[in-house]
Amino acid sequence: MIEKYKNILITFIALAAIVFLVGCSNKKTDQVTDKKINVVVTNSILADITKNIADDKINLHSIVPVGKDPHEYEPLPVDVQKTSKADLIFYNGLNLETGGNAWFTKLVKNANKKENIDYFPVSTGVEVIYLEGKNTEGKEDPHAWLNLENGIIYAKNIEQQLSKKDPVNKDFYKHNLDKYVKKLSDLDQQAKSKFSLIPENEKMIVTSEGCFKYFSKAYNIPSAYIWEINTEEEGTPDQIKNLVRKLRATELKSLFVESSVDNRPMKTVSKDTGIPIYSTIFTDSVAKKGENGDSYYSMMKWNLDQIYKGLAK
Amino acid sequence: MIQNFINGLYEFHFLQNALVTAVVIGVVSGAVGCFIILRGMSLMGDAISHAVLPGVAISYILGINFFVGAIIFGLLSSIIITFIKNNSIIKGDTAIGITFSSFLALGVILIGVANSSTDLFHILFGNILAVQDIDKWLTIGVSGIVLIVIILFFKELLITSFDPLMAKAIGMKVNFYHYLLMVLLTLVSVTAMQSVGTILIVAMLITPAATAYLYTNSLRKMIILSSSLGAVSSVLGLFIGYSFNIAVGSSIVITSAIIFAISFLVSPKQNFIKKKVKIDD
Repeated sequence: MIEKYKNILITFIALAAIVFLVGCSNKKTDQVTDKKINVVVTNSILADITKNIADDKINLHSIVPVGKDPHEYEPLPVDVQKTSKADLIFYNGLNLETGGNAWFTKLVKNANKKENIDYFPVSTGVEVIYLEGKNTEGKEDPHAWLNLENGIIYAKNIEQQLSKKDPVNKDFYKHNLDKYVKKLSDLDQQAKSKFSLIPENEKMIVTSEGCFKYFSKAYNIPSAYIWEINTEEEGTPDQIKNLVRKLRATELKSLFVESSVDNRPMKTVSKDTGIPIYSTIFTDSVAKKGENGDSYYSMMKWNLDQIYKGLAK
Repeated sequence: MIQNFINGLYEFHFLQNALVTAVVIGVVSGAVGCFIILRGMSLMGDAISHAVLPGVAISYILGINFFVGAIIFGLLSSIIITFIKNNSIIKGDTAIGITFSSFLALGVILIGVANSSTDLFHILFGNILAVQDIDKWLTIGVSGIVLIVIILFFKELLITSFDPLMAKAIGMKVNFYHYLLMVLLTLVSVTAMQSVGTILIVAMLITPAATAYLYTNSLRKMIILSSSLGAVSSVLGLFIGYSFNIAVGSSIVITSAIIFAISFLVSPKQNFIKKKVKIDD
């Protein structure tokens, strides 16, 4: 009897041993019982803004990793765990994490969190731009942060909620916010004066996703795209055809491609129009740590510089 | 509509690339597919095309061409499947099921870890319209090699496919040809990944070959017919996809399925309609 089950037993013991070893080597200092509040944000851009305000006064977890598309994401176990333990959750709103497969909606529902009590859209107060021809809720263009003025609104919203949840550090947050807002608005002013110098017929930002609507409005540069938003089908024949025809009628000198999408459709457009891709810019995510554009500020600075150089070439 | 498509071909480089790549993939997968269905290994094609996924992810992490990683993992999976089948009481289909789903799962994990912008969706479904010049030449090169190998070893592949026992008796290395075919299959799977994507490759491999099988008993004719059908499906599929603005990979697969359905009804070998009449009498 025992003989017969010996092999099965050995298999289970081996499995248990593996689990035990992996468990031991993975012992993290997760059980910190400090008094810092736990804050969860949905992507690397919000994480950077939050860090600029709160610094080391909070425990911060960012859900969508650097370089990944925040429109469609499958939360990992640690995301679910941190979200259910969070004191405060920030998300972009405007159809970003809640569009497409609506991963964020499901995540907060499972974690039993309530809107405007536990989780807050940082885009409150932004002047909303809708996807083309659709003026209804659920069809907003999410990329508000690509206008620095909106980035400042994000920062103010984040500071307001942090101060409410954690009044002890209120002055600290306020001080950092003022410093940060100053930095962002300086950059904004610089960009505005720079872009006004480019001739009208050479002004156009072409990217894979139509994420530059807010940017276009702020800096008065029209934009064109292959597909309008990442949740729809990317790079269909019609999309590529229409863009190529549109570009052939312009004097444009540069195309751009985003860091967080497949760059092949844009290469196709570049080949067909003869307009080179000037640079990779950051839209849905900051750059990897240590590279150009690894914070919201430096990513915006990189984008503004590259777009200016590409257009004024 | 046809005029529109032809104008598009003149106007757009991406459409020319798509056409050339799709036709080449149609031809080569049609040829390899004949051996696959004759050996009863249709599911093996499915398995290998899914099993290359971790290879693609690892290539991305290491920053090498995805061909290298994909081929290594494709071969690894075929070795594991054959090993399980030959060395245990477990049957072939079960061995395939275990291996390919594990490799697929590993691939999903690795793609997550790699944090790349390469969406799983793009690998699983491909996008022929995003084919670049380098991809096109790579496809043509690899397909050329595969076709040359098939022509060179035609007789050996034929004998080992139809009568492995006799082939063994006259001293042929049956195992060598099995793995040779696996290499060819892996090469085709990897090249076809970018046109129809991982999930639909199996359709390109077996549907044209199965259609050709309905018409002829000669392997030589079957390969030529199957390759032609693959090419025709690719052109028609691309035409339909472009004209109606729908997914091209899936249009190609549906086109070849429709050709199969028609052949199933009218082919002299199958004789479906006549048989039916006789029963009714």
